Amino acid sequence: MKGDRVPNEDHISRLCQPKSITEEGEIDASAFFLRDNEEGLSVNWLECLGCSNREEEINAIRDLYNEKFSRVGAKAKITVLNVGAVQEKVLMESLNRRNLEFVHEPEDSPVPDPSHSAIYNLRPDNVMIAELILQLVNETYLARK
Amino acid sequence: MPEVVLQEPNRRFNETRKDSVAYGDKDLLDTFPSEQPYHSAWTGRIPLPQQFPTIIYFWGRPSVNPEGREVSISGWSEKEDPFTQTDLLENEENLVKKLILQIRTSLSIPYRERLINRLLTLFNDAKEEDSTSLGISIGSLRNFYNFLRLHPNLKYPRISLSPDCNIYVSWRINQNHVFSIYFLSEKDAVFVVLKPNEAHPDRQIRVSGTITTDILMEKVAPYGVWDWISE
Repeated sequence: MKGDRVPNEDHISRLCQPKSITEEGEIDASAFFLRDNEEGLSVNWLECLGCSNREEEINAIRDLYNEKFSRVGAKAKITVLNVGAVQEKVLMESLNRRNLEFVHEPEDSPVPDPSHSAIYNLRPDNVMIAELILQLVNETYLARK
Repeated sequence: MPEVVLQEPNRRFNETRKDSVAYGDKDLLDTFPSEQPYHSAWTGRIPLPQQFPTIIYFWGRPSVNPEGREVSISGWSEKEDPFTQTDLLENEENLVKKLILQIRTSLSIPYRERLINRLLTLFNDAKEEDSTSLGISIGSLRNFYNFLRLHPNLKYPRISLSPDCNIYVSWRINQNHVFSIYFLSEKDAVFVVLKPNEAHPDRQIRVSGTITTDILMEKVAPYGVWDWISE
């Protein structure tokens, strides 16, 4: 339901566009930067999709991203993160013990995106927090099928 | 109804050429450490279309030019009169690409060819994602380039772009030693240092801040970043 907190034991996915992928094909911290006009970082709540395993979840997310975004580059990647792990890492290691909020924000348009969620409280110190989140990245998939 | 004056662009052209002589003289007196031509392109002196929505030709006299000739470092032809958003975008994109290619003349940057290729790849990636974006923010690109020229002994960094197309670079050894710089427009940058706390091996030193790039390395030197970022 809109406004619900995403549970700590659940997982989120983040689309990392090619410009945030390094020459070695790794995701960089810039994948977790907000745009100037953004308050929350867009992610998807995987358990909300109701799939039976991770492979199905990733396929569903790939379909969604390909429909939602005009262009998903060949080098684009999806990373999967555990909500509780990110929250704890940032709480313990950010300069002012930042408490990130993971909020369910389903979207109807331009494409129905019922698992859409957002991470809030990334500012200020977005760069440091992005570096901390990057340290937890260990599950990645190509965004294209 | 007022008559359209077709000769207006040419009059502007003549006036701008007079002004450009002053720009050229300033370049000769510039104390910025430059050993190659065209460096005024990196200091933001080239008028951008959005600043001067008219046809402007800029003729700069390079700081070092053995033949003493004037070199055109920026200009828009009359067919590219930037009155529409599309034209504006196209002109700014061309300027970004031109600035990237001018890195080739920077002999102080040992990995300039690799750097050019990387920046062009990122530019294309950004354009592929959003054709209306600039590819790379001009201010961030200038800031990054000027920083590299101030510190020619840096290792080749890991480079990516933020969602707003600003340049983000890192030098890292695993996750233990990280020094990252986020180049904003103008002269500002956000930096992050992560390194082990040698007195307490279970802890990490984490420092971040916003600073102008000219004094950045001086301020982070006490954290020992030179140990893993320089050749």
